[in-house]
Amino acid sequence: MIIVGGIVAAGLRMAVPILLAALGISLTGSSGVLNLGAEGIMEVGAASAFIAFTLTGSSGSSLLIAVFAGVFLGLLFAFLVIDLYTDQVLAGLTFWIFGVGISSYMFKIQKLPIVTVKGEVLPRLSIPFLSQVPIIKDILSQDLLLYSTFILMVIVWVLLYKTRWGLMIRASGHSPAAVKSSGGYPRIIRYLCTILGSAFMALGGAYLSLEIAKAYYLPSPLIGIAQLRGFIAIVVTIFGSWNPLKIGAASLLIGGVDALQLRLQRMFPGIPIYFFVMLPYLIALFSLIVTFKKAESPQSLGKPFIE
Amino acid sequence: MWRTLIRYRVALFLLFLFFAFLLMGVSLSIGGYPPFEASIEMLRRGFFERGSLETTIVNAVPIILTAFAFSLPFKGNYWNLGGEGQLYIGGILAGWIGFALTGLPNFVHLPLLLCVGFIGGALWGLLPVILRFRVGISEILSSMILNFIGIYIAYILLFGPLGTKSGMPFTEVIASTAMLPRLLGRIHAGFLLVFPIGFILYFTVKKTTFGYKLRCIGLNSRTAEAGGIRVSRVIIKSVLVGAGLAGLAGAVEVSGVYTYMWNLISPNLSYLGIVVAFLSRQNFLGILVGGVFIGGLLTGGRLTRAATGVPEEAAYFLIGLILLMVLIMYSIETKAKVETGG
Repeated sequence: MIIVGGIVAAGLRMAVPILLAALGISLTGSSGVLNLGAEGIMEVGAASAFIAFTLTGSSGSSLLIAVFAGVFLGLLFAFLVIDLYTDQVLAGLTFWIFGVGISSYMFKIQKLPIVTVKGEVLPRLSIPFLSQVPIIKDILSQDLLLYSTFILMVIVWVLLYKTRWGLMIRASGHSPAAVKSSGGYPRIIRYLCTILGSAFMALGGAYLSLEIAKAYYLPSPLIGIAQLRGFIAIVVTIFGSWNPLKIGAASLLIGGVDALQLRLQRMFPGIPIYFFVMLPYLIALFSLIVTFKKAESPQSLGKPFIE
Repeated sequence: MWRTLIRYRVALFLLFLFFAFLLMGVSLSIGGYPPFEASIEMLRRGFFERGSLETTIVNAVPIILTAFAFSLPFKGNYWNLGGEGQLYIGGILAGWIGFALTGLPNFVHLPLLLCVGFIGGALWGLLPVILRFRVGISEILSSMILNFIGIYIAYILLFGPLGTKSGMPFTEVIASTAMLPRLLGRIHAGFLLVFPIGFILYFTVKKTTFGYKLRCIGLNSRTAEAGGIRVSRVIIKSVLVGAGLAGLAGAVEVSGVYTYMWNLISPNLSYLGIVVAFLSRQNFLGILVGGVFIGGLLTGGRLTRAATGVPEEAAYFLIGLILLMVLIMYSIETKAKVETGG
């Protein structure tokens, strides 16, 4: 039972970066902008947070730096696709390659030693009393960002589906012209959502380098530490039908499989480890096949609003 | 204003390129590296030195092939991002044919190896296209995920049945009858393959009925369907050829460069192929030039590290900036089109 608690705790942690990025994608997408650059923005978030952490040693300021980087990239992305009407898929892919290129370079020229940080980076919070119970002990003593992510998920859900603002956001994702003619500003809404969503993605990347890897490194050129989690987050968003709560469930599934495969590798040494490494991608592909048609994507997703 | 910018597009691109190098220089000097030497060294070693020019050309071959692999289906607005997986599947099958068969004459074995690589890539590229037309899944996502699945399948085979007994992720060295002959220094005969393929693709797209249909689909697939073109059939054909070329890139790397298949056969070359495809606007003859340009930056970056200690990621930084600039150029054009109502 103790092992189960450990796996669930690890699954929660693995789900956080995917969930943060997917929340960003769903917020951006609800307003009608398809941000396929999540991978690159996560990478920039991961690198900038880790560089800031090794230079300052403060986790708060490194998260802040990551958010700033995300806001900046979001602003650039929004300008390109909203004001210049660039093809959103091409812009997304560009942001991916640009993001990975710039982060690996910026990290390398600092001449920082490639080491794993020892000890805790993000502040912890153990839920009083409940974290004494043996089985759920691991689950309920996590870092603050993990709890905040799940709170953020609820906030985004309330924002999108329970408020007047959310109605405006979803309306500009379905029919920006209607928003315009009823006196709203679809461009400004899209700008704000793209920038905020991009900040979420960068935060997801920061969690990846500060908490999960506790290091920054490049597994291979052009595939950064995010290892395609940005694209998996898009799959998760479609799987969750653009609804933050369902997206949360889908990210927990992928995160859980990711945590489980690490354990399975040790349990079955006879089976090649890459079979297990492949599992999260197989699950992602399978879930895409099952849910792609049913997902209710915003009708104007990826289309520029030309007045 | 936007129209004027388009008129000077070449000058604008050169200005952008200069700006990219400037940005690299500034960041290098902040990091405490010699900025001028590094930039000049990078260009010199990438393009103007005989020994490293050979490396540049060897590097360019798979990039050019994967750029073809992306560009041909893209004419029909199909995003083949799965080049990496196709390259690995093509490479592993080619490696297996290379060492498992012995005693064949050269003129049978070598073409067989290249064909098997082509077929392997084509079959792997068939999966996302089937998913798109049968289930309706966007190929952008499925081909990205299938990249990782393909690479891991190759890893499983390399660490398992197709690897050597030592447990290292290598196959045995392929038979000498399956190796591409060397032409000059490190340059192998695969380089000669690239030109006819480029010309054939260029004329296929420009002059044949198939190319015409493909371009019609690219402009508007619904109109094409209404005009009697069977969209799925044309797209599947273009993907089979495109993905096959990515598989061929893997086979060429196995047979011409390494002489065995191993786990790091492609440092994400197919993604650089996509960069080249956009840099040359999916023009098959432009891709030949663009591939050598990006290949040269990579070689230059790698050799500059040895000479001045500048990290080789500098090349990837430059490539990222160049791609961003190409994107901005595209944006300016779209903007101008919308403004003039075209």
